[in-house]
Amino acid sequence: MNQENSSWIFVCNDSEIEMDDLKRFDHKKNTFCIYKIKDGIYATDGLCTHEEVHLEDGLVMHGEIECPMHQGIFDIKSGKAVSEPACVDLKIYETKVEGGKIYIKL
Amino acid sequence: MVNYSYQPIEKQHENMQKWYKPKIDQKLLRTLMKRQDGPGWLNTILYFSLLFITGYIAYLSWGKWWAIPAFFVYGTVYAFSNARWHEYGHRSVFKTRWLNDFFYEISCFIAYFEAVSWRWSHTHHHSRTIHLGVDYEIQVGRPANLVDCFVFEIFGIKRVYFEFKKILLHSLGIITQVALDCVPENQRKRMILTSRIYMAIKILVIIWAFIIESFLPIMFVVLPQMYGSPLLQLTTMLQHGGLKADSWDHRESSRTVILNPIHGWLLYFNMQYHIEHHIFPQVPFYNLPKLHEAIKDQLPKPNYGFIDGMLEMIPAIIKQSKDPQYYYTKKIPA
Repeated sequence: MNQENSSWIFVCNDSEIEMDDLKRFDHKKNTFCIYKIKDGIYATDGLCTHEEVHLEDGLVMHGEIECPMHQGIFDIKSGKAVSEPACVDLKIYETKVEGGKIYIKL
Repeated sequence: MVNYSYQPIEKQHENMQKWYKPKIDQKLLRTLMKRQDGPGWLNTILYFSLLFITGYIAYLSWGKWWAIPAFFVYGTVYAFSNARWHEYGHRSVFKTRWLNDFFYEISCFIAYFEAVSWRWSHTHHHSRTIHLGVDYEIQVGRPANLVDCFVFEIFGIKRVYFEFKKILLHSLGIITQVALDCVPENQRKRMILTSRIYMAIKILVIIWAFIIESFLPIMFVVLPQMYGSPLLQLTTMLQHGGLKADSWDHRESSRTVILNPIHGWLLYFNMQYHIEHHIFPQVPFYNLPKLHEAIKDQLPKPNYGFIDGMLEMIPAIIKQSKDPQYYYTKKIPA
């Protein structure tokens, strides 16, 4: 059940995402990826900017997300496209963790 | 469809939903996707050692009768660099990314695949595998041209000619259709530069051959992709040859063949697990046999051995030369 707090939207419990992993989050007509890496929780758009493949099955490694289809790579914290075929940056979103719950600012 | 200029393949997000995905435990899949440097180094060192050893033996044989088998073996090993550019290009061989990119560039040059255009055209191959008019990596056209397949393709003549022409045109700043369709504009400068470097090196090798009045440099650097090509081309033809086109199920359009470790693991980077590679392209070559084990109950029975694959593929291609609608139907588990 989503708990909306102004523009902060509840995503899931912190324990639901393992370290160096991600979770898909759909809200209204939009889709996102929520990542847990050693520096914290981060969020980006869910679809790769190359060919709109969803990143939910991608590989999280070195603080980056690799697209499952063509191996385009994005920096998770900045959304920057760091390796082709990804050339356009991913949009990023603010996140916070409160009381063991992850929120995304939309 | 052939004449579209570069754009991300249309409705790819929707297309991704169409591709068949087998059931697999997500934790296991994540484990199989994890990269390591060790297996990549082992394979890379063994392959390049084999290339240098067979090359040295071929050098010693020059002018003797056994130069023919010696160069055939060297050329065969050299030609399998074709599997290298592909696997390094997927960045799955090493955990350390720059190693993948470094060996990608080297392998592309050895294999005579211009690095920028092939990285991009290969994305089309994965987005729309064997979709006629979109996929630029279809070895067996419809209808199949038997002379093309079993003469020009097997000896690499068509591919080397096409690639030479493409590299020459790109080096002159003339953008070919495949680049217009696959390579975005902001990547084309680098493609032109790479093409110029490839052309310059090949020209220097030919000049060197003239200066030392020996055909050897050409035998070592320019021609192996042709005289060493037959085993490679037949092996790569097994990937999709004789199977269904325009399918959204890789089990219908791709073929998995169980090969011996020298042919499969060492030379071919385990690309004989081709259905598995297409379904999960992030899984590195050393985990493809484990992936095969995990999902084989949902896949067609693999072909056991190169000959078994040929016996299935060649008659199907012959039939496709007469009937472009024909394809060999793989039995898919219910």
